[in-house]
Amino acid sequence: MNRFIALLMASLLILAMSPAMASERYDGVFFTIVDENGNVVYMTGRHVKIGDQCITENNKRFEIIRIEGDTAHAKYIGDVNLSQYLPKEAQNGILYAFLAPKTAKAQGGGRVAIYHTHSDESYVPSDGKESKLGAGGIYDVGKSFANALKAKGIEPLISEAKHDPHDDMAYERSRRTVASLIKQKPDAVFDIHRDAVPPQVYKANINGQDVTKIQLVVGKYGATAKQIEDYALKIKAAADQKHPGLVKGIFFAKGGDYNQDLHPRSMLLEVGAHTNTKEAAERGIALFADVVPSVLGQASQSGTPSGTGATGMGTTQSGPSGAAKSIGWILGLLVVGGGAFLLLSTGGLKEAGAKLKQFTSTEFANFLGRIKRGKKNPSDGRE
Amino acid sequence: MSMPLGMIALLVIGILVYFGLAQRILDRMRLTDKQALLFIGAMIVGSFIDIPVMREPIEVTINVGGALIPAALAIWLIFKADETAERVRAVLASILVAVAVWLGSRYLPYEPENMFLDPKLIYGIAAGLIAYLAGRSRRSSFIGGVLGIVLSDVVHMVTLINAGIPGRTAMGGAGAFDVTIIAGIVAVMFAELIGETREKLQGGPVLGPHRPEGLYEFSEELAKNPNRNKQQNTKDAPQAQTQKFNRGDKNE
Repeated sequence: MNRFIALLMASLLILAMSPAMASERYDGVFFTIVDENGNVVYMTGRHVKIGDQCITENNKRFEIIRIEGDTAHAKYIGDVNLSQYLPKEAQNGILYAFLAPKTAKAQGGGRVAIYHTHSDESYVPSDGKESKLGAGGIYDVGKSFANALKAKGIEPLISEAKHDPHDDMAYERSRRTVASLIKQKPDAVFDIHRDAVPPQVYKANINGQDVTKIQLVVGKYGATAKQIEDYALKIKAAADQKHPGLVKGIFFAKGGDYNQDLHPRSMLLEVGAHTNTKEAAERGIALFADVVPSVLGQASQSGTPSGTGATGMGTTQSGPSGAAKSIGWILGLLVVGGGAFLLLSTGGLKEAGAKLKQFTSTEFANFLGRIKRGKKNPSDGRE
Repeated sequence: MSMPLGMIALLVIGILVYFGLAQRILDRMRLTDKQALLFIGAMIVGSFIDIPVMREPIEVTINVGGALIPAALAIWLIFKADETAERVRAVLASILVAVAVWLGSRYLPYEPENMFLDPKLIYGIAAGLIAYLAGRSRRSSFIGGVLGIVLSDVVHMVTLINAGIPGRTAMGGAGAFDVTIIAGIVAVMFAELIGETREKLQGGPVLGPHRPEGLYEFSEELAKNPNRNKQQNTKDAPQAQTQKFNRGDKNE
């Protein structure tokens, strides 16, 4: 009987977890984000949620506060000053001098890993349909990116691994691809996708070429999210300088880390939408390749992003760097989580303190002390 | 690769916290602290080894650190279980988790703009909840999390073959950072959280001067060596002793 109830509750949980069950992607519905005055500031694929953020093409940050039908009302948070993310001469300091030989070694060359989590994504005008399992048009966009990088002296590490079907576990399957790519020590990792919005959202003309714009996606709740946010801003700053209008904006998605926790220079790119032509997307990503060397620090004299200081921990002018913020989050969560658990499991501050003391004094005795034979250490049998 | 110090510090701290948590979880799986550390070392080394299983019709590989070692621990835990009912519960939990992953991957949103929680966390939490409901056990949660994901990979493989979709299944391919291991860890943490909350709601651990220094150790000692308990707790009311004993029984 108990087991039956357990089964029932488990199925209820699964049902409760899927409020946005089986959302049709290609029904032409998309979200328009408007500011307080009703001006359209952003358009994206669907189902944005309250709390999602985006940085628009002209570097204004908005947070969604209310959703009515297909319109999301957003609050203006502020302008993002991208100039501090531009590469420039790093400040001189003892630490910089210490690290300088190492940063100098990375000048020239470099490796960039490319893969596709959604390996079916295709472009309707060129490929005929929006999804081709295992053989999406997105692979051609990845190849165009690889060729453009090669022309710049960067070695592309392209993975053609397939992660279909296009479902919720695709990122967990592509995580394995990322892990195998990282074993080849890339300097940056790109997951290339395409969006699902009307064509005008991504359509652009840059240097007389018809191209599609590119959207950067940052996993807002990943373990290293703040550091990835810094990286995204750095890419946007470099792109705005090199090819203004190429990067459509940055979307901060709440639903995961998109494997950006595996490499400090990981980025998810949406190159055009299924309604754009694949050829335009290929030209767009080729332009984006112009931005990569300066982002990797090869065009500048140092590999250090300015604004975050020579150490990358932050400066008094710009505040703590994304990496420092991420460290703060990880350690903060560890302390809060550990403390909450201690309180919950012991029932009081005094007891929690005693348990913590017992933890620090006896738990480590086992592997720091000598091996005891015969009589068992009471903490050994802990379960 | 040139990396500023902040990035390096973040990498080091991230890895220390991750493996530190994993070690705390593993030492609840019938392993001593030292064995748990060795186990983590084996997972890291094993992350670099992929064993090919088949090439046709789709490529299937098993990663030693990300699937083989944790699955071996889970299976060993099933065999070491004290009673048949516990084994049945652990196997049942694994199957239910695989079903949850299968249903979830079909029906949960999958676009970055639409997803609401990281799949690694969803399936870890689902495993923890299912295993806790099925057996109120941390070990069952770990087994459910690890074997549930391994089984879901088998389901994925069968789906690909049946539907004729080109692709591959790399079980545990992300090594020590694979969803297999993360789901196991999250499952135990979640089971621990709901278990402790439930116990707390039921009245919490016995407080006062006679409270044992650690409830779990105490319950084990009680079962192994009732005499020692008598010496330590002669002043305890009999009712309180029974209460402790009962609660200890549930701490698998």
